[in-house]
Amino acid sequence: MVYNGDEVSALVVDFGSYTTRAGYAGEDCPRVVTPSFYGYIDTPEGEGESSTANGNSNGEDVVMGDGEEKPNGAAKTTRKYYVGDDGVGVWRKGMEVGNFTLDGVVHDAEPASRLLNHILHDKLGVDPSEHPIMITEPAWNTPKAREQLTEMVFEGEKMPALYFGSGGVLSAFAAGKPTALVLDVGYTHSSAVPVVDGYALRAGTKRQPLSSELLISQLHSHFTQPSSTRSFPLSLASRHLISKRDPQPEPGLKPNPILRDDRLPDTTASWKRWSENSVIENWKESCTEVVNYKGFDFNTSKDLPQVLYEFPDGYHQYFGEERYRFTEMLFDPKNYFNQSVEPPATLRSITNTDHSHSLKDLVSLSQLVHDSIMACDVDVRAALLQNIVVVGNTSLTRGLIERLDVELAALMPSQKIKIHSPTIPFERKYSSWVGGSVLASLGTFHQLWVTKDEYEEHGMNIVHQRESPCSCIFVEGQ
Amino acid sequence: MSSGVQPTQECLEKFQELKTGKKMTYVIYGLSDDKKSIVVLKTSEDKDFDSFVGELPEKECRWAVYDYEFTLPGGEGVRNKLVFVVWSPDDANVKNKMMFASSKDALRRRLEGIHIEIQATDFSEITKDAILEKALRR
Repeated sequence: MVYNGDEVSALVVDFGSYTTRAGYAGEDCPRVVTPSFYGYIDTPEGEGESSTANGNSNGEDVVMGDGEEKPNGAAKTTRKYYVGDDGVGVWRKGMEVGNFTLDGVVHDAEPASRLLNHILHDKLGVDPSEHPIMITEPAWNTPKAREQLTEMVFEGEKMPALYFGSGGVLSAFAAGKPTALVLDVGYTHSSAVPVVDGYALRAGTKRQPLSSELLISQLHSHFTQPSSTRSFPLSLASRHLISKRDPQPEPGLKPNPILRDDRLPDTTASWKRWSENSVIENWKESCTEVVNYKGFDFNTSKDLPQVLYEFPDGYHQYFGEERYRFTEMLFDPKNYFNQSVEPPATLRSITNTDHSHSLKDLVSLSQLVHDSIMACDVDVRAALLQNIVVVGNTSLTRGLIERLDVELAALMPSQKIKIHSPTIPFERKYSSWVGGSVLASLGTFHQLWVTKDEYEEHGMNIVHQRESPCSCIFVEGQ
Repeated sequence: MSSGVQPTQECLEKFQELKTGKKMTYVIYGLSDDKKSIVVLKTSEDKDFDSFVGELPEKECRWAVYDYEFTLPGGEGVRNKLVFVVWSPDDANVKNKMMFASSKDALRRRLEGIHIEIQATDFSEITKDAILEKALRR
């Protein structure tokens, strides 16, 4: 298949750890922004055959030769998936919650392919066989994840062509920079990716689970225990579980909402936690800020501006230092990350390597930027320092950019440092999608697509090859 | 990762002329109207640095090569160095920034003999002093 001209309407899909963004290349913003979380309900297949199947989330353990005829192969249970906006966001009896990304990588192919299918057919309403697709990937994407996505695209959806765009490079480009240090503060991790002349440098890529999810888990512990200004724990009940809220006349009073007793017994722990986290996420997005100077002191925290916020159950309060205390973790994890609060299990998957820090060894965002740059060749350091691009939803926290500037200046006093951050919020939240959208819409770019025919002839090799610089020359010469 | 946009022959010819002819001071490059190739937008023999900077639009990206002439400290004479400028103002729209950022390498790697590279987003980053600093460092 040959592509030329701008008529090819390519699609761009950006699988994030919190949301997945999708839409048409050439458009300004994604048409679809949908959770990367999914709901699932397991029902045992062939009742009475095995009682262990119920508790077994993937059911791969117990097989006694009868697996072959069953549609799910060896699985003892049938799993029904609920993806998209009406997936996890809707209460269902006995529905568990999962997320198909782990460490920023698409980890669970089945729900991811269900979501892709949902996006293509239900959301965008396109015939996938007519649209090439660009999928963004993190700099540390695994060959396995790539293979799964490639199969999804070519074999599952029969799409005609595919390209993997590096998220960091796309974000740098979208900020107008062939060379930049991209700091992405996201849901499950924060990462620093040095990009030089359009290529992400693996050597300097650093990431850690210092992220929105970790922040939320700390806040969850704070809100579900009494504090110095609050004598009772908060319910954190979402609107799904409340039949009548109980608005309080005064701030700070304990509400007694009427809960949905019909739903509570059939609510799974994972869904309950997900809905509570969503309640906290909303509080976090509305209220939190980062103090814009170094050395936050609780004694002065009374002077910090307060905002009034009301939770779904009716509790409302003027929040002051809580708005600042927890986000301080981003710049001072040693003192503000409370290790006694059980962190989300998925964040433990990041271990200590040359390119990553585990939960036990978190460093501040400024240190992450510093270490990333110092791991690069001395010739490019100055250029990277002057072109720091900050993206990701959590980077929208008020004061974060100013604080990063202060911290970096203190860390590297003799250096010229310049932080660039897209001013339009969606450009910062969806920067890789936005970059991919422009690139995939270009007629001249289409020589780089891997077509279905090429994939069928050469297999995965061609997909891996096309990302490296030398393969570009190979393609041009064809 | 690159856009696949390629420079026209004229881009390289004008660069050669600038490099060897010693007449021109700068060449400004941009994208063709159909966005499929890199073209020469302007060449000039004007030696005034400010007039060169004045040619860079406030809301659109450009590339430029400027023949920078400077005096070595301590009276060691006058030198010329070629400066490659990536001009990507904050006020340019994303599409424009994206196209220029992803096409830069295709132009840059065809131009041999560039000594200094400057990636600028506003006029404060593209001053004679900023270039001089880089020129003296190498």
